[in-house]
Amino acid sequence: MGEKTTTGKADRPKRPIEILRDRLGGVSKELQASVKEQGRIRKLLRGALAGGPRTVPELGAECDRWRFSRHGQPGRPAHAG
Amino acid sequence: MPEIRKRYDALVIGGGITGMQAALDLGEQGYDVLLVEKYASIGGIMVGLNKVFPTLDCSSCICTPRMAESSHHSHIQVQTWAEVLKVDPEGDGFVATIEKKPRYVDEDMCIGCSKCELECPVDVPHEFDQGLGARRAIYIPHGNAIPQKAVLDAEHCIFCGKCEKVCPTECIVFDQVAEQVETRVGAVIIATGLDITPMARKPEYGGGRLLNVMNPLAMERVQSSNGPYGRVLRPSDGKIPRKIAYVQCAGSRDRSIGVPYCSRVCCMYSLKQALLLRHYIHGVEVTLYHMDIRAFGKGYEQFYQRTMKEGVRVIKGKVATIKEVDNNDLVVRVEMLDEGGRVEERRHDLVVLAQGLVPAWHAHGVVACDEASDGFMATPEGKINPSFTTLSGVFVAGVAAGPKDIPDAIVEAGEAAMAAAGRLQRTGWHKVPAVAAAAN
Repeated sequence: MGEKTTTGKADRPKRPIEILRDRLGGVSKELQASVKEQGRIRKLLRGALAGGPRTVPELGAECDRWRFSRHGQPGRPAHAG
Repeated sequence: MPEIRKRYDALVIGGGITGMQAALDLGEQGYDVLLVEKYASIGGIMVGLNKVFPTLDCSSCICTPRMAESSHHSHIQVQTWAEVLKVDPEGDGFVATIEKKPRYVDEDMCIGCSKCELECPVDVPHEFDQGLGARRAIYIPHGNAIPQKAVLDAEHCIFCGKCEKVCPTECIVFDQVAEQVETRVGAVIIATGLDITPMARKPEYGGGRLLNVMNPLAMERVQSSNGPYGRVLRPSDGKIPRKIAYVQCAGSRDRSIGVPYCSRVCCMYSLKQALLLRHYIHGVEVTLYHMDIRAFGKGYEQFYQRTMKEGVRVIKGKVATIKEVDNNDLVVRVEMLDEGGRVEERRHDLVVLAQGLVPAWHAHGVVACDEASDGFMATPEGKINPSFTTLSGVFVAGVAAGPKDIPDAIVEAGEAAMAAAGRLQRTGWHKVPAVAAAAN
């Protein structure tokens, strides 16, 4: 019986995307939270549109917040100069 | 994309309308030009505008042919997503150090199919839409962008690898790094353009704090048919605004914020936007609060008169504060200058601040040219040689030299190109193509 060689994740060479992620310090908690929030808003919008077409103000009211105003930092409009 | 060569006749810094025009004017005369743009597409501010005053022509319809011409010209090499780090005099010319930022996309292989951006799960505020719309972490800058190549915003990437998997040409290159390149040029034209006065400098106007106080570039995008909403809506709730105010001199002629000069274009762009709002929204009430209207250019006064005839209210009044009330509506406190200084409070759905122009780029640390006290490039021979800077061989055009409108910027671009061409002939830098090819 030959010796069993390990082929774990740590042994394989890193892919370029992993090298870049490490070089840039990984994904920040703020970005992770922002992506999660975007997913939540998308789900809300899809749900609101499931019953048929809606105007933007109707969507804004149904989805609690209007999506496009949410791209800025919290409490700050996205279109700040 | 071709590599940056070792030698050009001229370097143009900035790929907006001024830089493109200067490059074209030189290229048409047979001079080899390197046009460096810091963003991922050429076109600058103008390609994002809705219409131009006083003719109300479509802005991108004027700008995009210039963009295409610049990028396809046999004597012009366009280098986007790059910055000029240093320009040092050497002999009759200059040594320019340029940093090519990593796109993480092989420009030669990218076919602009957008599959990567459709697959990317991250939404990021879109700079082109002034943050009102969204782009993805990997994106093509906008529909009219040149080049139509994707760029990865690594700062907002979650490294999921979906773009890499879906790319049909396998052009995503995660191991790209910034690269510094040196090239020699005979003349330099600075055409770095403008930023608008930061809203934070006028906290009493609520800019950057109140959802329905917009900057003028955001209003340009909102009015554009390819804008973030496709029609005019207010940012807080997506409703159609019915009472809109413009606050003039919101970032100009104001020593308290360090901008004592008149920005020259705010009156006209506000009148243009106000008139277009009257066209776009039936029955909308648009009011301009101003200190005085400066409509100085060809056809501008007639445009001002037309705006008033078409129902825009122009009131001589100085706005003191803007406050938010219920429903994100805004109350403007204004001193009515034509009514003995009576103070009045008026309610509006949406307020646009007519912010002024400040330079987008500073020469300090890059090229040894002086700046004037207002921060724009100094032009010591402004009356007779308006494109001359304090360093021989370095010329300036457009808003980099001071606030001005598009026609004036284009005229200056031509002047700077002629001055640069004169220098290239005098110094003997410009060589016949065979000699230039050997030098490269």
